[in-house]
Parts: sequence; C-alpha cells; structure tokens
Amino acid sequence: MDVLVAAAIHDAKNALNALGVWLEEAQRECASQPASPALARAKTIASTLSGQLVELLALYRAGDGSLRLAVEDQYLEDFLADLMAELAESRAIVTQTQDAPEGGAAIAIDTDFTAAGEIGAWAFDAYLVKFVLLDALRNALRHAKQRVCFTLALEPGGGIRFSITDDGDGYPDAILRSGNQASTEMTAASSGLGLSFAHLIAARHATPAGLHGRLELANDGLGKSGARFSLILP
Amino acid sequence: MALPQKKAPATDLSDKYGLLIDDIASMRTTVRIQLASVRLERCDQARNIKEAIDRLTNKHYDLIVCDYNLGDGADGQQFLELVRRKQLLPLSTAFLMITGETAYQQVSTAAEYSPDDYLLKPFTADTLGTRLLRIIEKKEALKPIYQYMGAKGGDKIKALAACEVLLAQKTRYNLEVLRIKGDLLLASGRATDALALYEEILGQRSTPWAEVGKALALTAIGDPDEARFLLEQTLVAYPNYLAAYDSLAELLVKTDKVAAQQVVEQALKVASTTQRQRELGSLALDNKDYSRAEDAFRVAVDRDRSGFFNSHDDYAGLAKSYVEQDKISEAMATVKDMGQRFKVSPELAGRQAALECQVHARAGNAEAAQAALTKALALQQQGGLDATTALEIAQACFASGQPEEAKKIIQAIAEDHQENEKILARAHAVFEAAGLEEEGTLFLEATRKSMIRMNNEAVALAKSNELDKAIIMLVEAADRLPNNAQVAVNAAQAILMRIQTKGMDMGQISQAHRYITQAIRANPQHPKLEGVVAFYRKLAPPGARPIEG
Repeated sequence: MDVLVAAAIHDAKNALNALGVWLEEAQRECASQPASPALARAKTIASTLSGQLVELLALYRAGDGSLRLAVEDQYLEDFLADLMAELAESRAIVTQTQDAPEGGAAIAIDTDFTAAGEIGAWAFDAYLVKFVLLDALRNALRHAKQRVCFTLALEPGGGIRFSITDDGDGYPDAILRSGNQASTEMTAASSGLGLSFAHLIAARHATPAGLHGRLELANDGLGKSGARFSLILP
Repeated sequence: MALPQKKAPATDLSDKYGLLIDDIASMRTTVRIQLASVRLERCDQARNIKEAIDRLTNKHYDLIVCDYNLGDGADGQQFLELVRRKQLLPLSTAFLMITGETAYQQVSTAAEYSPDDYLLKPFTADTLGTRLLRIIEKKEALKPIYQYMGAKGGDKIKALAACEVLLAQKTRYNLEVLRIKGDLLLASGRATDALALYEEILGQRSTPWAEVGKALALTAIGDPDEARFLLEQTLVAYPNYLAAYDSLAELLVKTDKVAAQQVVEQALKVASTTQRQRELGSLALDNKDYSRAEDAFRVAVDRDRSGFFNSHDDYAGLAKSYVEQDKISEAMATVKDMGQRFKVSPELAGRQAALECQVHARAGNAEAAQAALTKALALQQQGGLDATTALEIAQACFASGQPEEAKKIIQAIAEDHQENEKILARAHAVFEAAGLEEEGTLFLEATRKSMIRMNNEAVALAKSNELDKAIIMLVEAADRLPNNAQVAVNAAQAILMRIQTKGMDMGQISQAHRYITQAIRANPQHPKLEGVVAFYRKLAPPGARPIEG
C-alpha cells in the first residue's frame, strides 16, 4: 500500500509535467494568434499542482523513512540566478493572464546577493531547497503591498541564511505560535503544505557535526509588521 | 578581501563538438533541436553504450549530454564510470546528465565519478544552454590543473602547483580546486597535508566530499576507528552520499566483513549498480551467506543486458554460490553461460576450467574434476594469465586435493603483486575457501617478508659497493615479477647508480628506462617512482629515450 501511494503521487506529478509540456506545445501551435490567457492559466495550474505533489511526496517519504536528500556543492550565484529566472517566468505568465495585478505581478523584488559571490559554493539539496524558496517568494508576493526583499548572508553561528521579507500584514498569530512546528493552517491560498515542507527540508539539512537547518518566521519584515521568512542551512 | 575574479563567461557553443546519448529516438530529436537552438550545431548522436564508446574512441568531444536511462539495464551513471575508468573521457570534457526526478534523487550524489551537472526533465533550451556554458566555463578555468591529471603524462607535483596558482587567484571555483587538491594530496601519499586541508575546509562549512576526504586521510594516517566514526556520522547527515558508503565498506572489509556487507546493502538501496551487486555478492560469499550471494550475482548477471558492465567475476561468483548450496546443475549451467557471454580468451578458458573443476569436485566427480584441472593448469603454465584467473585455478587445485600446486601459484601471485592489497586479500580468500584461513595468513606473511628481505638485501649490497651483485638480484626479480613496481624501481635505481659511478652506458640506460616503464605500468602511483624518474632524467644523455609524462 505504502509503495502504491508514493508511486501514485509520483505518477500524478509526472502526468502534470507532461500536461505542462503539451500546453506549451498547444501554445506554439497557435503561435499566429495572440497568446491564450486560458492556456497560460492552465499551464500555471499544472505547474503549481506538480510543485505541490513534489512537496507532498517529500513529506510522505519523510514519513516512511525513505526521504534522502541529495546534498552537493552549489554555486550560490548560479543557484540564485536559476531561481530568479524560474520565478520571473511564472510571474510573466501571471501578468499575461490577469487584468488586475493580483498574485504580486506588480510587486518589486529587491535582492541582495553580494554574499553569494563571497561564499562561492555551499552544499545543500538544490532541487528541494529551490521549491522551498520559490514557495516562500510566491507567498511573500501574494501578501506584499509593494515590496519583497530577498537576501543571502553568512550565518554567524555557521551556515547560510536566505531571508525573504515583505511589507504585508505579517503571518497570522497561529503560525507564529506554532513556532517550529509544522503549521496546519496558513491562508486560503495554501493548505499549509508549503510551510510543512519548508520545515521538513530545513530540518533534514544536517552536518556530521550535528548542526541542523531551521526555519525562522517572524513579523519584523518590511514596513511595520511585514513577514520575514528565513531558511538557515548548516 | 579580494573580490573574486570573474572571467568573461563563454557565450557560445558554436565552436564546440557535442555528443548526445539517448536510447529513445524522439528524445534525441527533441534535445538535438534544443542544442541547435543554443548554437551547438556540431553534435553526434549515440543510441546506446556501444555506439557511445565507439564515438568516444574515435573523436574528441567538448561536451556530452547523456540521458540517465539508456535501456538494456544500462544507465548514464554506469556509463560515466565505465568511460572514466577506461580513460575514454578526458577530465576536460563536460558531462551533463539528464534525469527524471527519481533518478536525480538516486544518483545526484554519485560515487567516485560524478557528472559535472544534472538537468531535470522537463527543461527549456535556454536552461540546457546555460548549464552547458557554465560547465564549459568551469572546465576552462580548471584546465591548468587537468592538463597534468591525464591518464598518461599525469604529474601530481605539477598538478598541485597548478592548484596553488588557481587558489591564489581566488576564482569562484576555489572550493572545486581545494577538492582536487585534496584528492591529489591523498594520491601522493601526503595524508597529513590532506587532513590539514580537509579540516580547514570543514572549519568553514560541511560538505560531503570533505568529510569523506578527511576520513580517507585518517585511514591513511592509521586511525581507522576515527575514520569509521566519521563516515558513519557522514552517512547520518548525508544518507545519499555513495562515496561515503563505498569508503566505509572498503574500510570495514579489512576487519568486519559482515558489517561491510550491511553497508553495501544500504548503498544498493540508494543506487543499484552491477558493480555494487558484485561487491555484495562477493562479501556474502566470504560471509558464507550463500543465498544472498546467489541473489546478488543473479541480479548482476541478469540486469546488464548491454554486456558492458559484467565481468567474469559475476558468473564465477554465481557458480560458487550455487556450488556451496549444492545446486550442481545450476552451477554447471552458469559456467556454460559464461562461455556464451564473453569474448574467447585464455582468461575465460582458464576461469571456466577452474570453475568446472570446483563444481565436479563438489559433486564428487573426481575424474571430471581432474580433467578440468589439467586443462586449467595447462593454460596457467603458458603464462600471462591475470591474477584473478590464476587465483581461481589455485582454488581449483585446493578443491581437487592438490594444495602444493595451489600454493605455488599463490606464492607467484603474492610476490608479483606484493603491494596490491586487493589481490592479496583475494589470495587470502582462496585459502579461506579451502578452510585454511590461518595457514593462508602465515603463508602470505612469510611471502611478504621474503620479498622485503630480498629488496633490503639488494639495497644493502648496493650501499656496500656491491652494485653488480645487487643488480643481478633485482633484475632477476624484476623480470620474473612484471607487476611488482617496488622491484622494478629498485632495479632501475641500482642500474642508474652504476652509471653514476662507472660512467654512461647506452645499453644500461635503456635497461633502466625499461624497468621504470615497467614500474609505471605496474603502479603509476608508486611513492618511489618520482625519485627514480628524476634520477633518470638527471643522468640520461641526449638520445636516451625520454620517460613519458
């Protein structure tokens, strides 16, 4: 049964990826016509679902003990460039499909990746961490009024810290109260899957010396009480 | 703090030669179009491992794009390991692996050889282009080191010097350079320096390869307990890191084969390869876990339908697993299958005959066993069989009640491979299989001591101005033991000393050249090699053959 669940999630995810490819193909086939907002919207949904299944699968595998991170050196500049490119691509689709800038299409993202060049490379699971950060960025864009800020820094106690802040209304108390516990409720737009996944991936990053990664959530971001999401990797 | 220097990135693939490997035609077409759109026009294609190897043998490629799934039980990771081992793929060639998400989790932290980068399906042409350019840029930056790391002409001292130059430049590839430097230090026998390097890196950050490097340095320094502890901790933190499993298994094999078998079982859960199945099988055989051995060798034999990854050992191991469980007809069938599977060679014939002998002996068929053994021994007497085959014949000798013949073969192997721990362990395993574990330990120890005595005597003779006597002794040994680098190095050294004291002799200098070449072929990593090569270069007159590299 366990194997079946994992396999089913996995197959569904692959099917969604395939759907994304076909939707792109469909868009190409009607290249002469103006871009179809419906197609673009469908593609976004397929990609969102596929991402959620990746997260669900990771949580499931953590439950049955088969989640193993693939930790390798990553050049931080390259990693962040890829991440921002992927975010920009999905935001472009959102812009195409919406008259009113909802979902953060008009929000500016300030970045400070100076530290990336100085640190060079760091060892982590790029595939899973990318999902964590993309989720957090999209969430910040959804809640921000005008600005989102994304930075990277060396963590004084050892490790690196990705910080995403916004000038929205901050996290609900329930999420902050739950501290490092995986949250069960978040917003209407999210089932809390994203945060559970983020907590999991942070905690699973560890070193032989016993350091662990962690999430820090606080409402001391931009503006008066914007959210601050920090992922610290050992 | 100096800012990292940034070279202008390579912007174009149009001057590169590419090779695309994928067994699915439609995938090849898609990726080929994507490559063309990032201006890689010159790109050959291969449908399977055989075609890829043919291509690599005949042409130099700047970059390789390889799908993880290659069909016929073969995968891109095994292919990469194969071509790196066969030295068909220079370090300067970029290797990009395309995988699905599942395969990525399995292999992205591959063992000894890993691809330069992975790309997860689905991907866009732009992403493909960006990734390739990044790798090529890195390869370009590391070229000053790679040029001294070839299979032929490798020069660790120059490579290490090139590392220092790059480190001083503080490029963005610093960590990668440190990684190569650590490998070079370990390969040069400079374990203490390597340990210091890894500890410095680990003081800043943890990264799986530095943890394993530190463990290897600790092992080399003579602290296996600390190394074992560190590797176990590393696997808790990085349960996907295959190099840590491999290093731990290699460490444990000397002291605790049951624990080693468990480690290989765990590694197989992360990534199953023919090589690891074989390793599991042979550990299970040693541990007398015969049904597990049968399963492992069965998988090794069945799964590789490409035929590129199997070795005689897989069939020999399977046949032995059957023999030990008294499955005589299965064992016989396996020995026959082996003949169908591989190219005809004296090694194959010798191995088959030796195995046949063991099967018949077990079945109580003494006459047939003797007939097979006679055939095996005839091949052995022709000479030139590799150590593994010769040891199989020794095992057959034990099995059919001819221990003296067995020991003669083993002694010759042990002398020839005096410094090769793996072969010596295998020789010991032959005694073990014959139920003569203690005798084997004593026998091999005595052989080792007599070789050391011989070398010491020769060195003492050389020092007390009896060079000619020393040379006679060493030359006799070097001619008899073509795989013994130590003896060949000493022979060359003594000959060069005679030239130094008595004057140049072209016959003697070419003799010295021959023994140095023999030593390089036997063990290019031998610690005394660099000294004798330098000595040769100092003495060699114009017209003498140069040492390659």
